[in-house]
Amino acid sequence: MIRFLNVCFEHAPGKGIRNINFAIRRGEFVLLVGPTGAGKTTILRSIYLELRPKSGQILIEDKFQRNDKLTDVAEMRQKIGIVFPEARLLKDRTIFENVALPLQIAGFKRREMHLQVNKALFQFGLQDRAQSYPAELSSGEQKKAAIARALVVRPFILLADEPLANVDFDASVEVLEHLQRINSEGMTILAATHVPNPYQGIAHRILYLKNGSLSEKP
Amino acid sequence: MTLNFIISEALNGLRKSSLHTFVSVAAVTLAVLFISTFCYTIFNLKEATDNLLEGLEVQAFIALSVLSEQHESIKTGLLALDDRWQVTYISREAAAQEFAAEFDPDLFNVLDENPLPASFKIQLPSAAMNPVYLQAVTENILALDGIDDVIYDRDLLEMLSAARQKAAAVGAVVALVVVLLAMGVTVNALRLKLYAQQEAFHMMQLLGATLRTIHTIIWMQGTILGLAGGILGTWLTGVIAWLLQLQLPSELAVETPFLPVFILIGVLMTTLCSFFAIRRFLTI
Repeated sequence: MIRFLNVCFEHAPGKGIRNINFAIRRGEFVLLVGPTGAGKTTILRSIYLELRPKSGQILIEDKFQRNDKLTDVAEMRQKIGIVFPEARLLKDRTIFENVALPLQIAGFKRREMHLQVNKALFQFGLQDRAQSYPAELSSGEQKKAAIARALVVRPFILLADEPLANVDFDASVEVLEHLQRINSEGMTILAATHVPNPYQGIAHRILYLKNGSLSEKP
Repeated sequence: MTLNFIISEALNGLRKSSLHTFVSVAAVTLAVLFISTFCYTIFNLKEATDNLLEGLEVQAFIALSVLSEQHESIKTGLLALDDRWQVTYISREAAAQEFAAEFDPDLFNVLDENPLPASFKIQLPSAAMNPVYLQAVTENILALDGIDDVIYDRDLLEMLSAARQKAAAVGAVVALVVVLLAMGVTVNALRLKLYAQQEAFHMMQLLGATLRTIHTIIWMQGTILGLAGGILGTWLTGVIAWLLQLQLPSELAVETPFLPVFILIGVLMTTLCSFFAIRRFLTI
């Protein structure tokens, strides 16, 4: 489903990723582990085409990715769910509006959009918070809303960058339960974290990243 | 991507950051007010000088030795010089009556003979009124047989011509400054609005919106702001003109033709400023 072939990217001298090779199969839950600055976010950003590798190739759904045609980039992003370390919900929009945004961008009809948003909010237990603004939600609820936004368009993969960052213990347990559930329903997940312990028993595979290089062992 | 999304996002953005929307509309209103006030000031000044120039007449006096039967042929000669002229014949008797009425009714009782010559009053188109043209006209008329003298208010003409030239030169500079100022105010307001929405636009882009869609949203917001500011600015111009008219005597009319054009100017200016703001300030 996703394959990195000798991918290199350098955003500062000596900083970036080097000769990254890995593959993720459909339905897998892969954990990308490494300290801050190891290159986890760089790999995720390369997948959603915010960064262009200096060398190497990225295959997504058996297609080589090039981010020189902007409409192709936009189309690809509509098929990828992204969760950021901070929830990054738009402060001046309700939770309903935030979750509806990807559907609006994808051109869903109003009725279908309402249906999908309500379904997503229900799945994450946020149906009563639909008309609340992000600031009125706890950090855990914000993170769940961010995951709901990422999943509402039914992407083929969920990229989660530090999905447990900025949430308390109870909320992180809840977020992990949701990630496990959606993975068991068939969603492919690539999560980046510097603390792998909470994911034990949930992630199928762990890729260790250190100083921009990848290994399957810590 | 649907047009619905673009329109709803454009309106949403305006509604959500209402303070920036208010500032932007105020800026466009001010800009339109600047431009319209300037245009109408120039227009009304030109109308006023045109009116003064329309009252300016050239008078060609016929030599006393010319027989009255020959006066008609002189008139034909005058009209042959320029068919836009309105030529009115003043006979010696009419001139005497006019003089007596204006100065001394008993004057011609004292004099044995009417000393005043017959003449032609020539009304020239105001657009042709300038010292160089009038000098040429004078020479051409004097060259006609039977014309003794040609007079006109040279001082008034020279004063008005000089004033017009100065107004045109100063007006061009002021117009440039006004337009630049108006655009500067508008671009600045749009810049603030853009910064306020930068995060939303970046998120849209990450969620699959094309850059073109985001540009269209910003452009549409600019157009809506331009329309609102244009309508307000135009309405205020109308109100100011009406208030000014109340203060002025009725002979001095404050004219505001083609007022709705300024709505269009507001829209065009803001659209142009939106394109500039997108290129200059959008950093997604």
